[in-house]
Amino acid sequence: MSLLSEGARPFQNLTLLGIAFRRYEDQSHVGLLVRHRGTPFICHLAQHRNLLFEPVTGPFVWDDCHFLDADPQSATAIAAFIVSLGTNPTNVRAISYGIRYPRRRVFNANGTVNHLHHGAGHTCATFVMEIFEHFGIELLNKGRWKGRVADRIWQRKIIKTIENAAKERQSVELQQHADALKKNVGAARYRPEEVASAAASVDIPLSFDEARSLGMQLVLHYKNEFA
Amino acid sequence: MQAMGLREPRVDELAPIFVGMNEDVFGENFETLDTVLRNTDVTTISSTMIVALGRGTFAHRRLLRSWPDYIERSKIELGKRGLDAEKVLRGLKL
Repeated sequence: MSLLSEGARPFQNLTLLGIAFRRYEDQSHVGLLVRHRGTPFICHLAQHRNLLFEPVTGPFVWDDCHFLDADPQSATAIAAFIVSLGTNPTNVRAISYGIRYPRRRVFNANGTVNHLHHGAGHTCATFVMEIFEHFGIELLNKGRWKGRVADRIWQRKIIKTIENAAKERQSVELQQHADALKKNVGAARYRPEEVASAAASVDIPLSFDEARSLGMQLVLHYKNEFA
Repeated sequence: MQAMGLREPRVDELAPIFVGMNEDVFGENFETLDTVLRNTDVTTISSTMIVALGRGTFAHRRLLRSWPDYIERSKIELGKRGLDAEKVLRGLKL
């Protein structure tokens, strides 16, 4: 497994553009690594309307995006776009959480974000996918993706979490968003571990079977690393 | 964009150019962006800048008449510089 912890491979070893993965209890999370003012930063969609760009710390495993090893020009361009996206404060609250991959592009050419209607948005994983797709690069073969029972269960669980947050905050906007998300249960789910595995691969896009296999290996590797 | 010339920019140097695409040059005006693509002399800018402009406008390519020609000129120029242009510009199709 090529994704390693900070202890095994310091974040400072980042070349130009990397991928970072971690687990929170039974959840997976993924973000992109770039160097900003000499420091490795992570750009990740942490929650609904909460895009973070911050120095990377904590129990992540990471690697360079190896499919760009022989292409520092594209890696630099994408990393620069991520810096422009992450350092624009208007973007922090702009990206909704969504379980269906948006049909409409989220990013503008200049690193600002298009606001999406209720129910549309990104997971941490599809946020990473769309960054690359914005530049013409597909990490996963989305056209041949397969539905999984466990993904529907996860989608319902995440909607319940958003509903609970809406009640707690007494947020009508968040409740409307959760209601809209319910219509998308059953949409293709691209798991964080699958996107992380693809981004660290030499050859992309990964097929469903390749991504699923590498994703499962990554989760096991992570659990061993931080057991 | 051309101020840096052929020198390869660092990530932090290139980031403001993406911001500047809207603020200073492109905005929502695709005619202006199209003019930039049409008039950019790829022999006078760095390879990274060539790629950044082509990839950075990929999402709007169907609104940019000059985009295919820009990509073709980019392929030729990157090839002249000894780069694997097909690899560097992979995925950039109409």
